[in-house]
Amino acid sequence: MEHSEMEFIAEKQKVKIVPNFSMSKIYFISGEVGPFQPGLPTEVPFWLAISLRQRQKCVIHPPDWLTIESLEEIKEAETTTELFTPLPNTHFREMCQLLLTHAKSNIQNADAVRTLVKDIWDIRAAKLRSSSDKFIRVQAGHARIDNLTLMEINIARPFLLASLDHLHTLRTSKLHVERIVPTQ
Amino acid sequence: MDLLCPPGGGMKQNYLSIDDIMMSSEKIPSTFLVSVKTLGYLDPSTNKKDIEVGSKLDLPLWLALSLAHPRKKFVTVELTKPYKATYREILKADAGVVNLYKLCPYYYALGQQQLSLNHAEGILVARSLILAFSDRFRRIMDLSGNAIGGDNSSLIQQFDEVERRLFALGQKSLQSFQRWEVGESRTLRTSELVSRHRKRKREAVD
Repeated sequence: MEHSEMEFIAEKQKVKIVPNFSMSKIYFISGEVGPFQPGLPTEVPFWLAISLRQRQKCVIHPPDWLTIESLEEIKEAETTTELFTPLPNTHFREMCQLLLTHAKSNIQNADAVRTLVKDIWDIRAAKLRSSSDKFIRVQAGHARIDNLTLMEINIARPFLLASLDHLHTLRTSKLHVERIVPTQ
Repeated sequence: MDLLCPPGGGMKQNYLSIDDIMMSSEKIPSTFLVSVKTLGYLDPSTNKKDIEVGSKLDLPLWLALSLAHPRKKFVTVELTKPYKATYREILKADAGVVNLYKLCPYYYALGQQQLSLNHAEGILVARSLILAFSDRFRRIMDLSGNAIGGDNSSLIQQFDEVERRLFALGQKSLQSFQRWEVGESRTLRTSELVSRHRKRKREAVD
């Protein structure tokens, strides 16, 4: 899956904004977006929030988990456990990227936040690598990993699948030599 | 990497795959069990007119596979050097440092093809292939997930063709991720074909 596609899917999430214009309800195919009053916070899908922000018609409120304190907590949890911790949002990385690009001024300490997000990403990537290495070495039949985000899965997918395919052909030939599985 | 005709992969070969064609031209040391008249020119060591019984030749894999078929019994073959006990021991000790490309660019494919020739050590070869790959996996994964730069030939020097393909896949994921991070996935670019086709554009006409 392309990264831009994943970003597209992430943009469906809802986010709080404070508009500075007023408009009545808008009816979209996916649902309705409530009446806009200047100064009253409303929930809109993220793609709409970005588009309004680019025209400077609103202020985006970053979600609660995008503060330094909660990110530090998440990072602590990640470093201590061997498994993957559940992240506050299934599209963690994409949301962070989009928020930091478009709503930079609305986030406190944007640079520190960006560094923390990258740190969390690196820790999880390292865990994913070591667990797939262990998986291949032990030649397990299947593995289960919880709490991976869409983006991480899609980055690991092509390489891991191709390697597992190769390993599978090697194992099948071994079985053939042992006269368990006949080839045609 | 997408291939129009991928290699067979296991003990099968894909007729139109370039990888399989190149792999099957590797030489296998074979001993003739029968004499073959008038084909003496194939043997560079003698200049007799016929191939005698018991003469040793290096036949390409595609020839050796058909001649060594158990029902035909024209030649007997032995394992090529990279799959013999010495190299198997080296791989068992540390598979990560072995230069598989130098041993045989299609190491895994040739190894699996030779399994169908019914050697006594076949099972050991099969096991050693699996162990070698699982040992080398980590290195390929780390290098492909972290290496940036145009020229990676020094890094992948020790990889055989299959591993090089895996490396390219990992690189592609990494590069596409980096492009997305920077925001390049959103920018539209003129395709080269359009910018080069030199037809008159509308602005030129007006």
